[in-house]
Amino acid sequence: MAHILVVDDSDTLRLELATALKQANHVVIEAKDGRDGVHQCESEKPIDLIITDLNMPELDGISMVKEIKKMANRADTPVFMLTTEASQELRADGKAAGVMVWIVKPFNAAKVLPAIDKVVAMKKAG
Amino acid sequence: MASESSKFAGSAAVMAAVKHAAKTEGSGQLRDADLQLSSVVVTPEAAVRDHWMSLILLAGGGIRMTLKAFYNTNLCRRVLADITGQKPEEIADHFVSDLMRELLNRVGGSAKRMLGDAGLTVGLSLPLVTRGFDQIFSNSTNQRDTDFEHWVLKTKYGAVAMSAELTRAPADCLNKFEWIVPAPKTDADDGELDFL
Amino acid sequence: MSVPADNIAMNQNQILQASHHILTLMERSKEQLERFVDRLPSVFCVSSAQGQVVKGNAELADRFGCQLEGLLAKNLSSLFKPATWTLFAEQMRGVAAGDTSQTSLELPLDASDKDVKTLSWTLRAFDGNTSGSGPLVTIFGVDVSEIRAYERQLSQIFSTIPLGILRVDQHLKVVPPLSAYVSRILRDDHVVGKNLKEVLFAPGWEQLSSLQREYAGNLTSIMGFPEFQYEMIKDNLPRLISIPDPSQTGPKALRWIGINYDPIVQDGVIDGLLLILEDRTEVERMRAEQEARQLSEESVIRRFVEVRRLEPEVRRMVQTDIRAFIDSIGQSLAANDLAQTLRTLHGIKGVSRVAQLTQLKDLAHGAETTLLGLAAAEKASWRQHEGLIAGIVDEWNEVETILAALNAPVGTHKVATQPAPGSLVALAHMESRLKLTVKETAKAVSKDVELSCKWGDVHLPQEVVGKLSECLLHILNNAVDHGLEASTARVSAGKRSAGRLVIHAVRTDKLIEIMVADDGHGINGVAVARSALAKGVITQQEAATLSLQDKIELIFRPGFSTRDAASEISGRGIGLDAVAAAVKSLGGTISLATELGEGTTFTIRFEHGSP
Repeated sequence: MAHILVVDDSDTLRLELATALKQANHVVIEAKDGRDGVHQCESEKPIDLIITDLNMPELDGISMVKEIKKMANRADTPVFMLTTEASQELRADGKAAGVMVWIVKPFNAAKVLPAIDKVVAMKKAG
Repeated sequence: MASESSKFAGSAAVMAAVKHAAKTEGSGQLRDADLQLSSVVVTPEAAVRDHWMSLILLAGGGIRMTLKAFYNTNLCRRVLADITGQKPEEIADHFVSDLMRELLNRVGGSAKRMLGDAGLTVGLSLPLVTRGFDQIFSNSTNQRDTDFEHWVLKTKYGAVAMSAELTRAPADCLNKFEWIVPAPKTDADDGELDFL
Repeated sequence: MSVPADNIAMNQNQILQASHHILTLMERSKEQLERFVDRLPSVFCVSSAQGQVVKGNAELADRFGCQLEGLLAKNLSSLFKPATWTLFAEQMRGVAAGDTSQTSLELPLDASDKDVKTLSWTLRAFDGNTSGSGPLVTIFGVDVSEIRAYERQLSQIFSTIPLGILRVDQHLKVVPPLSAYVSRILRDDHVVGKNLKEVLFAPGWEQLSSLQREYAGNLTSIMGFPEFQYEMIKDNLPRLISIPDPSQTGPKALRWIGINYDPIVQDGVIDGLLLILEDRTEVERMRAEQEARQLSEESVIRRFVEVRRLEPEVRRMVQTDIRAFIDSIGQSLAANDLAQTLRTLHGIKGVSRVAQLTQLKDLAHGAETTLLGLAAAEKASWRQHEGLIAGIVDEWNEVETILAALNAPVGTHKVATQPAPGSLVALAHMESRLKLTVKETAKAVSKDVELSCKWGDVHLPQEVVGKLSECLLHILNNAVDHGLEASTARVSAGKRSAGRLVIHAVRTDKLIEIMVADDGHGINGVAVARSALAKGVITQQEAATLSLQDKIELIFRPGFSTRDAASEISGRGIGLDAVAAAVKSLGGTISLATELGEGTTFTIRFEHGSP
């Protein structure tokens, strides 16, 4: 059971993700763009994992990750990027910014949920 | 699945790639694995196809393409009703327009990837939703170096009309461009996941 | 990564973000705008020239009975009956073809026969770039069916109000709607479109005052100005006009119309007038009748007052002279003698002027003027004005009647209640009149006087009492005027300042005595004789033979007065000689007793059996 921050400007997609994650007994926090995502991280809420889109208004996904990584209490939070983009340049940019996992849309629960469990367990173990 | 019809060149290639993306993403987004795509011819008088229109722009590598989807909210409500379990009339309006934005986002994104893999690098705009009437203000259909395609995505919930307007500058920039219809994906191929 | 590339990537990202931001904002504002249009309370539509809907709002969808998103499948023709659609389509074609940029019309959405609404449509050519989809028409439709229904109700009410309600525009032209009664009042069925002056003011123009004519003629001058302009002229506008009615004769030939004005103000300035007309013919006629009645009542009163005011000598003159004139006129009329008639009229006029009988004088003057003013040609038929002379005779008859009543042998103040002649009346009846007269006289000569009466229940015949009261009055007035001293003189003589007058009536079985006493300075017989001598009332010889009492009783001789100027009060035409004569005619005697410095007492004595 993890606290997962879902960042995406598409209501539908957030709905889809949240539904799947809640069914897997996770707690979901939603943000509708990069700026909103930063605000959520600035709060004291427990956030074990961040799943974010890349192309968003206000602040794009990678820029948001860079900002979050500067925060002391969030620097270690694992980040999954869920996007339509698949280019190598962007993957490299993401990796450099601190993105751990790159997922190409559409969202496949069968693949993503196990990955979440694995990453969360890893973090708990230290 | 003859090999002649699975390989395209020039602007036809771009169109084919886009249409392929539309079918693929449409099936996913509109929750209909048996989505049918059929071409239609549209008269200028029928330019306003439906009450709503969403659009997205791809640009780069000498081309500019405007993708439009013309739809009625009934289809979206029924899809969303299935997803959320609510009644169609209870679905909020912004969810509906969001669905169509997301569809074009996926189609555009998929097309961008396919074109990129085939050597044509394009950028993607934000998808926008507006009224079908605004189609009236589109550029005239008689522009030079511009190709048009119209098609309809037929699902169990209803139909969505789409159009693609492709402008080449210079006119010959796509002459060497080729694209091959990729093998059909399985569900397992969806959502490839990479640990970076 | 190299720093420049990083920077470029960053910049491109920022540019992208910025343009995304703008796009999002534009999308939102566009959506808001669409919502406004969707929710307009009027019908909004953009369609092809053939009526195919390309855009529409919720109101239009309601008319079609479909959802907002279902409008693209619709054609406007399905909202109208074929005949109505033909009209509408014609206008659409004109606008789409560019014949006119905008057109308006009112048509009902009458496809189904129930719930038909009339809309006021405005059609305009769509002026955006339509990228080859053919000319488009923008259509606005406002529901005016309720307004029209109210207008119909209003005009129904209009036609039942018995007032003429009409409106004129800034050119004073009558514009609809107007109440049906207008045509009844103005006797004109085709008032609409005519000028107000022609329809309302012209028929009665002659009767208007010059000021009214000026203002009514210049009514257009207030148009276009604020309301105060109307306030300035409103008091001079004709409120009651008379229009000759050719279909009637006599008094009915004139019709009266009451007018009420109200300025119609639009955008702060006057751009028309509302007029309310009322048929006041009946009212005016009744008013005129009442006025005539009042006038005749007033003339009756005036005549009475004038006649009553006449002094007896004048009365006599009036009676004899005018009676003679009237007889003369009768003769000159019969003899067809215009000249003689004129002379007689002149005479009547003169006498009535002297007597101050205004009505008689005016009638005579009027008749005289009319007859004098006849042109030579008309003189032959002068008799047609006989009516004027008849009027004079009527007036004279009225005067004579009053004269006769006044001359009756009863006290003037008793004209109202007259007991039958021969009946006995208590002397006490005289008291109030005597007291009143004494009071007035005393006031006039500034003396303080008291009168007390003891009537002793004496009764005398009514005719006697009348004459007697005149005598007593004269004696009393004399006493107040001449007999009593002024207050100061009385006080220095040791008397009370107020003079005392006493009337004492006594009846014994042998006679009736009425005494009038004063406590004045008494009568100086020597002075009386001297004055009588000076006046030639007695000769020197006679004077030598008189006793003191005889001298005192000289005051009963005619022509006598102790004052040089006849006193206003007691010299009223009957001297004490007349009193003596009157008493004698009643069968009585009068005597007096006086004492210098103490007072005088007159005694009237009647022996039983007389009067």
